[in-house]
Amino acid sequence: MTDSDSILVADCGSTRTTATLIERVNGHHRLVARGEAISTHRPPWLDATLGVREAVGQIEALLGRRLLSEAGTLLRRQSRAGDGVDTFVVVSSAGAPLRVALAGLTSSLSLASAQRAIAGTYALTTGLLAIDAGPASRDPNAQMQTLRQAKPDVILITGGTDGGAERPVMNLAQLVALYNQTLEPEERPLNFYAGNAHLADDIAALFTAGELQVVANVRPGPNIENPGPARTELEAIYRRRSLGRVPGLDTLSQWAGRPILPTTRSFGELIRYIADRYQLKVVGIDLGSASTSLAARAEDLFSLTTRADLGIGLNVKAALEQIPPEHIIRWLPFAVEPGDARDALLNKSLHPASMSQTEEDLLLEYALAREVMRQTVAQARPGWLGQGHRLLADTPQWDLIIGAGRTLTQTPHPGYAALLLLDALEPVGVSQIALDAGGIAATLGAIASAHPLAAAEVVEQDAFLNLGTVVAPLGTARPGDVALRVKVCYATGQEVHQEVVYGTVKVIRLAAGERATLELHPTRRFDMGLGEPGRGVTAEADGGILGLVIDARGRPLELPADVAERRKTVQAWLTSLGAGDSGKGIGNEWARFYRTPQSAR
Amino acid sequence: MGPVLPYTPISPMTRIRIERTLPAPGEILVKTGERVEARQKIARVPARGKIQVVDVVRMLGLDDRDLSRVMVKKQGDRVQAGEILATRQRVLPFLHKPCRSPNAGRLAAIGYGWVVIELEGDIRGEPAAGSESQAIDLLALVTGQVTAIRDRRSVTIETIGAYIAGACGLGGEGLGVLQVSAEDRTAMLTGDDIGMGSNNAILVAGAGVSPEALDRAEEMKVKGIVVGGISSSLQDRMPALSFPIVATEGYGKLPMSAMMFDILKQLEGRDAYISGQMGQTWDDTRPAIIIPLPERGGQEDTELSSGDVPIGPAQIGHQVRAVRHPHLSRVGKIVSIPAASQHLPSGLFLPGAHVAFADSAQASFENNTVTAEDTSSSRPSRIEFVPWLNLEHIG
Repeated sequence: MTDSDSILVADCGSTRTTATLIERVNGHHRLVARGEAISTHRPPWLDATLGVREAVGQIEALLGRRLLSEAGTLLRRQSRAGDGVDTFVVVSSAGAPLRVALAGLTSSLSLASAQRAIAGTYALTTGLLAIDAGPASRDPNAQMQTLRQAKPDVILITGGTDGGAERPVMNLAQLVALYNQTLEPEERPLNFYAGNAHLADDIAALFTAGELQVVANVRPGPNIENPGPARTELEAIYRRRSLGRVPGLDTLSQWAGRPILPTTRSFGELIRYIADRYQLKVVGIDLGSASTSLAARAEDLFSLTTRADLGIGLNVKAALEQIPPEHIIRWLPFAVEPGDARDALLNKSLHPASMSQTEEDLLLEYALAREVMRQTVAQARPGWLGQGHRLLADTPQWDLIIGAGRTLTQTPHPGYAALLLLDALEPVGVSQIALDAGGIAATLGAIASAHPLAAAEVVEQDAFLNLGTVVAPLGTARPGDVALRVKVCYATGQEVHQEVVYGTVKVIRLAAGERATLELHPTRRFDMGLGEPGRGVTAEADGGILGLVIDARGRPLELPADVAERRKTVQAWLTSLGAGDSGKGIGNEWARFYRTPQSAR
Repeated sequence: MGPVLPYTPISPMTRIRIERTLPAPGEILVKTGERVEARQKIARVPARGKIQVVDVVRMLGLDDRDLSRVMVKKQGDRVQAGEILATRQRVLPFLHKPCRSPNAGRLAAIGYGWVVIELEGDIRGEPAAGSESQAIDLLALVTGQVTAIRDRRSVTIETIGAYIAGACGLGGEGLGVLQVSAEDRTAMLTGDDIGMGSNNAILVAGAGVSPEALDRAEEMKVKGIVVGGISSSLQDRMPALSFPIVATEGYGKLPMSAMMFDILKQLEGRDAYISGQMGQTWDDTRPAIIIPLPERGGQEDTELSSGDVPIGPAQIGHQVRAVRHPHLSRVGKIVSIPAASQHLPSGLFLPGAHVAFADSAQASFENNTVTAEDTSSSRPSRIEFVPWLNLEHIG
């Protein structure tokens, strides 16, 4: 027996807490059972361990085995057949995001790199000093007011390539040092310097000992970005200052015998792990109650974008402050007053774990989910460009798209999830779509670092539900024009020919476990991602519970301007993907994941 | 047995602890054990005013940013508008204009060629909101006993009374006499419902408040409004309103729960404190209504509702409130817990409970609805299947 025969993973989210047991079964690690409970770190409980105990209790009840002691503490396994577990891993997103003020020289260079550094953890940019934003931005009065309004936990000073600009960077650092002086010592933020390395000593001398930490420059050269060290420091602060204040997490960390990993980091690591292991271009989006994470890995690109101000539950209010109601209701196939939609969505923020009981409510929540994800994608794309992947930023082509978070994985029909992901990511070319049906993606990254074999086996066996393959050409045309001609050659020798009209979505049968060869012939206005409109490609496609989805709505995706036409179109897209059928006639695999207790898998 | 559910505390009589917190460390004016009245000042903090950065280097035409040889004032000093902050130490000082303070205030920081002044009046010379001259006085807002003082930041007051946790709110805090202005818990509060007698009152409305009612309430110097639901569009009006609004159920037009309306109706005429403050996403501050009640010697413990937080799993007989459309704000009791998950009209398939709702304000006729008698009252009730995720404990 190795030390990883039995791994219990707890994910303490802002709203829900899950516990998942992974064990070696017949020589392979499998997801054995899963429990879920309300997160209990907030009043009236103020103890995160209670939610974990309840979720673990559900696993105990399913398995008839004890994982916790009478006193409610974790039991370590003494023998293969005995109670307890070998390893306990915890990830969490339950801490308040860090409030970060950024001070730098150039919005498009050092500050952009700094933004990407803070996007790697749960943080909000509450203040921005960019001296290239006009004369007013260089006014020390305005700069000081910005810092005071930002009330930052952390100030990150950047600017200057290594050996580059000095004077303006020093001036900014001096202003930040002066701002610190205006505060009582206990109110002062943590200050970081991640700019021109040649100035590090001079800048450190401006601050009282211990009030400034120097990290590697986030932009050491005009075309070189290095957000990693700053990101690591910010993550450490998030662990210490935010997760450290969540009641009960310290106890869970003691049970685990290791620090708690921020959920977004774990999710990012999983995407990286899958991409590297299977040599794929992978994008994953984890749509959470309080935050949304988008992780992308393609060759040498790795990007993690965490929006701690965009969520589909606890953070609906913050999302609505950034997304006009008209943008949300445009995705609805029925009429609703913007004010009513806003009220309904805000009620979700008061009860973030609640689920839609009516179809209208469901579609409204999904409409917000689309916009939340689209905003996250919009922030991530410049980062892909910044890392030298222009093609990916302009026409994102992914081998694998992974959707995580309860809103995506617990839909009444897989068509909803597929459509949400397509509307948000607008992928181009041929991609496989999978859902984190086991609800474990956000924790697998944490497992992968210590137990790569266990992570690999769970990824391959249990974690994901394959929805199928999507084909999406780039381009636009007149309504009714043919966008793509598709020939599907099944392994049985059967062939299917389809013409897909611009503005429509079509599903072609390709069952889970089936494989087919696709001959794709775009018309002259459409491009399969090769940069050559009209050029055909041949691709292999794996089936899934949805099948082969041809998304001929074009890129960029545009909704009809006419309101009546738009509602009709949105309904047609839903219908094409089978959404609205409430799960009828979908096949056994969907039912296996969603209609049966986890332990019966 | 079901799962642990979220909890909204509501009680006609309970022990209440309220922590009154200053926005920054300040002066605490009371002692532990002291009895305080609602309108009594219990703590004080000189509010942080606006600041102004003076570029001394530029004003004196200095070559470097070292101010040690030119400063006349030091950090922490108070200065008047026009007072000299710094000057060049020359043989002929009249040849050089000194650097004068543009406004009255306190020198909060000096360094790198700048002086930061925390203003006592704003740049136009008027008193700045929250400036030293307008220090924040923290009132007790509830009559009770001080049970704890934390650092220089907060005072905990304990009292006995009715407590209702709000769902959402707008504005700050209010103290006034409770006045039931709506005909019933489903009625909209209109301008006509607010008369001269509403002056300094906290009005209890039903399902909503009309814009005209808000104008009228402002005119009548109303101290607050408690209502079932508020439209989120009211937020735009809040800067113009001087009183808080607490919604007991949520956003939209929502009838107030019968149990809350009944408590407020029974306590009409008493002093009430309401807070419409809602924390940001990560802050647990919640709107609330507190109505302190006189202690009844020796009987207090038996009069009190348990006040225990039902953190245990949901069970048959527990009182719950639905928190999602179409049953949003309805209160009922769990009558059975089906073993299997059920389909909802949305298509979702979730575990939950059958709940007998005692009210019929939002009767629903979905497929899994049946009519039955509520065993705990003579009122007819409807039994609905509600997923656990859409229920909370209440009471």
